[in-house]
Amino acid sequence: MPDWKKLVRERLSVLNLPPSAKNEVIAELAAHLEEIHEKVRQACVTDAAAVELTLQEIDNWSVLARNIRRAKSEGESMNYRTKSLLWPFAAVTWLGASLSVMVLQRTDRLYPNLILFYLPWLATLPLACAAAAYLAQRADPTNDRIKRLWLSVTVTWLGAMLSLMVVDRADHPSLVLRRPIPVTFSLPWLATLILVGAAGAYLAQRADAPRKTRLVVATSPALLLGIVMLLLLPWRVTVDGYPWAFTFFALDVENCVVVPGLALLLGASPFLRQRSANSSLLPEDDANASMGPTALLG
Amino acid sequence: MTKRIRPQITRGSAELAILALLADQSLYGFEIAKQIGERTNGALTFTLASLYPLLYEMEKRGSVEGRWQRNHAGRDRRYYRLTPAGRKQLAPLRQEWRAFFHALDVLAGVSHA
Repeated sequence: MPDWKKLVRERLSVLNLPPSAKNEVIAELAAHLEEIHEKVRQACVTDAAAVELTLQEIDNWSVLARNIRRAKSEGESMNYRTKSLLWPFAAVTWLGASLSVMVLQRTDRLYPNLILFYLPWLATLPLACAAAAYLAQRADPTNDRIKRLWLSVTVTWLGAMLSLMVVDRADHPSLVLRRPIPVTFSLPWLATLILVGAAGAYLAQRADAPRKTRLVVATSPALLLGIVMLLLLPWRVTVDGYPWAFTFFALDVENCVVVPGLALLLGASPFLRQRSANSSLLPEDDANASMGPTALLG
Repeated sequence: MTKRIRPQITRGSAELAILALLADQSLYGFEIAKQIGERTNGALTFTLASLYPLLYEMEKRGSVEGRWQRNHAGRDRRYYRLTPAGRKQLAPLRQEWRAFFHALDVLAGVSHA
């Protein structure tokens, strides 16, 4: 007779509950599996085959662990969203804005009127995204959003930053928009952003992220940059003064958010067509939690 | 006047099955799944993965309560029984499902009888 408690404990190691509650869950599930095993054993030749068949009762132990944890925790739905999405997102923007201010205060404007002026920001924000992934991981190791959202966003950011650093070191064809303040776009950079957007959306799709998450991941460099710029606006007003701060802000939004965002979106578009089974930012087991007639009959 | 069916009624289907079963007797998880399968000739089934999160949630809401007891084979099992609150939920839930099937019957000729 296998040690079912041991087998369940190994598989539910990620179950984040107080020890007494966790032990009780493990004992209960082990007892259930023990009964199934006894029934299966009568029909199986070997005990190993019976154990294997019994363990097939649970498709995904991580999902089970998450569902149990949420079922047993008070107000877990709100906490889960807060811990895995809102709190990391707040960390990204706060850390990104703080680091950007620190870096910008020590950096001359080396590239006036060029998009490369934002290189320090691009260098610091991946760090903030990695922090978000860490926070989401700490909140719940089984969290779907780690791969679907935060790690994909971090990779997208790193890709955008690295491409900019590479492009910055070479002569390259540029697109110059002549307006009251001329703006130069590096064409190779915009081209690599298409690839970066595609990579981000692909990674999110591979993690079975829903379409809107893929969209957020792919355009995250532009979106986060826009949010950070908005947060830094008061600081810029004190530095550049009114109304220049707002004029520069509008130009920056266009140059650093809209145009790169369009390039990222273009790259992501092939990976946005396919509809995911999971249509919300919430993890897939939220849908499974609603066990209606279909689930019962299924 | 027909009682309006709340949107969460689909979620209540699984709860109804458990509440109705526990109204007659205390059962542990394996027995709950087994009896639901047997009584419906396998039409309704609960896996371990779908049963326990729901049982724990119902326990958290106070509809059922679990207690470790020895079963007939002398093994410790966690038996669930209806609480007074759970018993109160059962009648309105049954009523909602009757209304649900009646509505389906009117629309699609699906009779529950």
